[in-house]
Amino acid sequence: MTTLIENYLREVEASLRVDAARKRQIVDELRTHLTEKVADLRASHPERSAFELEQEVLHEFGNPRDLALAYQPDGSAVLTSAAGDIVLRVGHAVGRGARAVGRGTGAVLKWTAVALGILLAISLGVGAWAYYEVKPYIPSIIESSDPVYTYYESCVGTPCQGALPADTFYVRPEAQTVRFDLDVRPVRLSEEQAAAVPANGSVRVVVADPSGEVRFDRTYELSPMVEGSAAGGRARQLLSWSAVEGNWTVAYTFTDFVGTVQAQTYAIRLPFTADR
Amino acid sequence: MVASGPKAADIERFREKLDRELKAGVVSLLLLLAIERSGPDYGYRILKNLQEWSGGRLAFKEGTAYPLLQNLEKSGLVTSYWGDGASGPPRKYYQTTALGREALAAALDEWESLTDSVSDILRNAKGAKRS
Repeated sequence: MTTLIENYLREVEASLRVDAARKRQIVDELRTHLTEKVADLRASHPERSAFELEQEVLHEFGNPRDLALAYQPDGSAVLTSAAGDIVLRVGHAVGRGARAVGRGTGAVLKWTAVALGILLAISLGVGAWAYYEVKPYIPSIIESSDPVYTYYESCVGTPCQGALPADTFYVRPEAQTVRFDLDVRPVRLSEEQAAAVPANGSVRVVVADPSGEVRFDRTYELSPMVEGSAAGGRARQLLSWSAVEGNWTVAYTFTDFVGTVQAQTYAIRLPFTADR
Repeated sequence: MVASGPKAADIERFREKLDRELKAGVVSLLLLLAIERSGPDYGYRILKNLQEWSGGRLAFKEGTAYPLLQNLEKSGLVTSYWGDGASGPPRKYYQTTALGREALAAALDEWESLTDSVSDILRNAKGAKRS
């Protein structure tokens, strides 16, 4: 199995929110598709390298995180607020505790567990009520959980080079914060694959607001991970800036870059500003 | 005139959202149709058949089909089983259920009625604009 497809599947697996058995089935099914598609393409394009074909197939397949998200069962959308999340976590923890107590200490404590269960139900009810009361004051992503900008580049078969035309995303006037989630990661390559690409590369990411003011400018240096070696070089950044209405730009400049770059941007409304 | 700035971004956002919403429903229907038409089959070949039947014009991220297949299965419209691939990893085969066949027939009627009405509306709107 190729490391490139396996890398992709690992990313899908890491983002899936289903039980372990279901994860395995989903990943196995996707693996069948990807390997068969690559094999078909190889048969019709023998002149192209396997590496290049895999890269193309994965690009066509879509962003691994988006794919994993699409598997979320209806009605269990990821909570976008910290408060709701905390209520559920506390509820789960109390529930787990109640079950453990009930199992271990007989009938009396079993009733204690039942009482705790009832308390849990009440606290969940109160928590849900409080959540909806407080919700308008919680920072929320404007309109929906969709990012205003997403970017995914996989530079594996051929290292990425040069400056790309700047991407643009629009931030609405009601936004008060712009959150930029950037993930730069190396790919795992076999020794043979690693020998065919530059040992060191970099990507420079520049974000500018509508006035042209540079809000972020950083260069990430990365080396491919050779199979068997320790992981290294991954950079994950969560950045926030005060929002300015208008078109923002993101520019990427690659130099012998081998790895993946993923970015997502959300426009966020701050507390105490929501309409009720 | 070409829209620019916020207006262009709004139009683009609307277009993308519409595209997503239209495809989400249509692709589910096409997947069910393809499974019913070709009998028990696995994801890659179902998608390959769809591409072939559309003359290569049906464009969507192939990965998005798999969560939709999962939804069809959860709704009881298809069932699945794992079978050995001729070569390579095992394959997950899908086949329609009796409920799936009924739902497909109803959905196709609905689709025809919808496309007829949309075509009528577009035709009438174009006619009204000219006159």
